[in-house]
Amino acid sequence: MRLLLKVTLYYLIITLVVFGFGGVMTYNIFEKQVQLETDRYLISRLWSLQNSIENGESPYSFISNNLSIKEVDTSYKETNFTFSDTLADHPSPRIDALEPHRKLIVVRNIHDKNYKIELFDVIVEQDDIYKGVFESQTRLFITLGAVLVIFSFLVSTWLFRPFNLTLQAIKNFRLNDTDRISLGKTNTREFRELNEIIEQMLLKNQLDYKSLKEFSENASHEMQTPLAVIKGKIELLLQSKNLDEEQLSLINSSYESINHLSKMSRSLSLLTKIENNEFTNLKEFNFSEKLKKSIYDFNELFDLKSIDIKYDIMEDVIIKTDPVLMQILITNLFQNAIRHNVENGHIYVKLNKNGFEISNSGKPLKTDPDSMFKRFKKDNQSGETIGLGLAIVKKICAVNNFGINYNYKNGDHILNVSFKPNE
Amino acid sequence: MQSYLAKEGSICETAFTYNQAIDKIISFNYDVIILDLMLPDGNGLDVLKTLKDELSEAGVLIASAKDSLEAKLEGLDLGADDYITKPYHLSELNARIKAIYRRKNFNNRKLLECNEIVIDTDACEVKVDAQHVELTKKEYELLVYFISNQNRVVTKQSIAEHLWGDQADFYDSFDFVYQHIKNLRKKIMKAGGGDYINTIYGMGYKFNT
Repeated sequence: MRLLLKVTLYYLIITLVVFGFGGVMTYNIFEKQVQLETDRYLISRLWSLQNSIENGESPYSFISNNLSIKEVDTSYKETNFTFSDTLADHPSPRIDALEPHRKLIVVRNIHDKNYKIELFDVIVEQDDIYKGVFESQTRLFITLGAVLVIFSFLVSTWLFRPFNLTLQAIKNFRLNDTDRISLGKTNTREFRELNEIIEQMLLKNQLDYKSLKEFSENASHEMQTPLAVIKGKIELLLQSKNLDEEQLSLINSSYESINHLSKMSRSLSLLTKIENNEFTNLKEFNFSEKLKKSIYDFNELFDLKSIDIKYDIMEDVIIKTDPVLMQILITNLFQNAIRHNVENGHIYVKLNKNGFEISNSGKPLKTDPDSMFKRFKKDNQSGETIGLGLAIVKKICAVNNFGINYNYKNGDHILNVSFKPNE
Repeated sequence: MQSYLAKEGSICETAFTYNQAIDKIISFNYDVIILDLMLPDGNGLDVLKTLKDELSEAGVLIASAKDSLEAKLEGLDLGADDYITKPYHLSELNARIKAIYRRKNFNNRKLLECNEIVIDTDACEVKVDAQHVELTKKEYELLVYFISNQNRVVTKQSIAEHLWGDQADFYDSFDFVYQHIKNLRKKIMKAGGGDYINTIYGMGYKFNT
């Protein structure tokens, strides 16, 4: 849920509570005022009645359905105004309904006669007040809500624009971008500070990443020369006469380790190169031909391990990518398919315009197939292989936006590369 | 590298800097020049350019740690004969130097001889005692490699890489090397040749003459 929507919602909930209390208060004030006005009106009527009687008019001529006068005996004293609520007929005779009335009862002594005077007046009904208050509050609330929603929408598009731009910029940020990121100007202080901090942070990340990258590049590159020297010296040592078996086996194991190390550093530097997008020679080429040629090239190795190779390759599948990368991808996959195969096993290659699949027989995996894409992750931790093959494959797929899946089903390892990104 | 090559009886001279290299190539004529691209005071490619400007006949083998395709193409475009990336096997380097030397010097008959074995590197034909021997492409390459490195221990890794290049990246290929060597030995002996290929325990093979 968007921040502003959330804020608006909370705001509306609070407003609802306030409006509820406000409604009750308004209702009470209204009622009090109405009562007060009615009472005043009754009192002014009483006074004019009193005046008229004092002026000699007959009190009984004033009797109506909202006024009654009774003469009472003199034992009654004059009383103060006494108000009460009562029900009486509606003032209009045509409406036959009892309506709440305000009643004023008072005993007055006029011309030595005691009169008990009762005055009625219809008052505004409580539920009318309630309805009025409720309706006005509801309308106010709806208006306020509508205004708030519109306002928050405007605010989010205008006031929060710099924030959204920053967010977008961070989303699009790639660590290996070389150009410095610029987040634009804003006069909102918080956003300005945010932008400054993020710019600094990203710049620092870029620099760190760059130096790390350079370090690993240089390390793996500079390593090749001393490795070549060591390798050469060992080969030279090998040429010396009269080596006994023990010495040979010592030389052999150092030689193997050197080879391993040099392969590892070459693979790592290849990975770094792919990561750095150094393979940008995009070309449209016939993938079907390339795949067939690779199968042909590997034929000897298939034969030597008695692997039965079958393929179903759609003709003229054209893809646009770096051919060198694709060659590395195919070579790596075939190497894996052979290396992890069993004697008299099989390999099946399938290609259509959506992608290709290489499945091979092999021993079941002991670990989760997805983890095999990690660097230096091997199913059997033997020292023979480096464990970077699938990491390279995955990286190549990632830079080309290809989807890749690894499954083990019915004794077959299935590697599926689709020319479209994984869902 | 120098001592390895000197064992063959080749005369080896070294230049450690760009300037030394330029001095030497102007003063002397070499058969083969092995060139590193990253020199302390300059670029190896400039040495190559000077060589070509001098119309030198020397074969040039670039040996560099740069293994990108662009670097290779640039070197070869400038007229280098071959490109080998570090770390390489000395036997592989040796074989390539010999190949360049053969191309440069036996202009008419590119024959490689070793006792009763004669290889015509143009026609890719092998004769033992003047009798034609039918070899597969890999067996042929293997034989040339051995003869280029005769009397030396060649490791099975270097053979695998020589035969399969990048595809040799797995150790199963040692079995394949063994298979090929077994077949090659059988074929030569059948044609009346000697048993030259010796196994060196754990390490590789040696072609004794």
